[in-house]
Amino acid sequence: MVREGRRPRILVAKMGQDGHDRGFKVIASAYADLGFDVDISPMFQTPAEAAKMAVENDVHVVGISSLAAGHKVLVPELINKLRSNGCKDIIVVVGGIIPHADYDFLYDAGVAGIFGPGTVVTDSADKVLNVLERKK
Amino acid sequence: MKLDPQYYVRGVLDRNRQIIARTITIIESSRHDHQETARIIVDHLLPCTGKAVRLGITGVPGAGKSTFIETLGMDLVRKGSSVAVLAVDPSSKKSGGSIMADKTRMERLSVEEKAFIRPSPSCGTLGGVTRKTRETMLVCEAAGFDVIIVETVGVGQSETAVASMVDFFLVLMLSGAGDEIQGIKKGILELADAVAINKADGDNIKGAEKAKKDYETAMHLFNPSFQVWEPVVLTCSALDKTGIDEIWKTVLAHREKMKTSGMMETRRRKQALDWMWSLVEEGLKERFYKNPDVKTVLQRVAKEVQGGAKSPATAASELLSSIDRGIYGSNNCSNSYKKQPR
Repeated sequence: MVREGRRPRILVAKMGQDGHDRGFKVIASAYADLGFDVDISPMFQTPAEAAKMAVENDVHVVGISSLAAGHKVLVPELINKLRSNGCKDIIVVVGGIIPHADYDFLYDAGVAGIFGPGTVVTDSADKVLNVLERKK
Repeated sequence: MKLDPQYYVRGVLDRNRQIIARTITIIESSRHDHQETARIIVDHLLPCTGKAVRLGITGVPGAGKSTFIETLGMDLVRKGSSVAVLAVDPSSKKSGGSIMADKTRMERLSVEEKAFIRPSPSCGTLGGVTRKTRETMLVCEAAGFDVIIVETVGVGQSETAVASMVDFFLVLMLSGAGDEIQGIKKGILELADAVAINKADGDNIKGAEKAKKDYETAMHLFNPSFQVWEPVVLTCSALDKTGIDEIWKTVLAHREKMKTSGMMETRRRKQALDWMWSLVEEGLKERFYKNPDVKTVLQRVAKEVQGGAKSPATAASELLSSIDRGIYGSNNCSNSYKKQPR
């Protein structure tokens, strides 16, 4: 926090036709309790809309909550949009229901962390902070 | 992060969304070198500011501020204006973290190309805005936004800081939230240029009309801040999109009157003074906390107060006198003066 001059800031976003918002609210609330500044996106965002929000709010991390199997299309598109907006340093993590078979695909697309059901929230936050730390 | 001020100045003037966002981050940063860069950036941008309509919106939590901005903002965008919204959300006293969910109420406006919405955590600053809302507003102005809307955190009765940085101060109220006496209390309402009773829809229309009458009577007793403008009370529904246009027309009418009477200039000059004072206050606070003497004393007295060995008042007085010692102790002039034989 001292190095950045601010708290870690995360955008917790829902993309596509995915109305499951319980997990995303739990995560948002928990991360704020851990001292993060947390931005919450509206529901049903397109990757371009989520990227615009991440850019405007100047977040360190975008956390995608995906429970309706759109991740293989939406997540890579979001990463592309972020990169084409000139944001090379914003990291993207994904949480929710992601089949193990898709993990490598997402990592190859540039995702920095995947958190499936049963993840302890503090562990995920720890991992996110470590990735941020390494980026510097 | 780059620290070359020119990079940011150019980026803001070019309306590069990403650089505008980064500039705001630097302005809000607590790092000393960032603050120094920010000061230079703002100084460079200052000549390019002053043209936008600066609108401050406040109200109790749940008054419908974000929804109101969504409706007003979309209207303005449709009319061809570009809109920047600076929304402030409370930071947790416990963890320091925050939840910024304004855009969930601004679903349409947040994806508009001509809109820029930046939520900021309040970081413990009282008064409904952040330490740096004023500077952030100027950055958006320099970037050419026609209308800047500052949305405060949901406020109580005395969070008036935003009034000292905008041209028009709009207070959103709800019906059934108190009688005339609430209205004549000093604080927010006496600074309002207009009060709008929101959620005047469905079964609530009658109640809103009654509240409007109550507030009108109450506000009539105030001494107006500017002779050319008597604050008005309106009703609206951000949900049904009624009364919004009326409010915008009021903002423009106010602007016209203030401009032609020269009051706009007076108001902005006074605001420059307010700005100076708020920087002085903030600087004093920072100096206090960074003072090494204070840090030493603090470690000791904090334990004593917590253990009940010392009263909070005595401890506070000790802390405050330790900063005096710092000031006089490090000041060579006063020392040499004392030592001089008469």
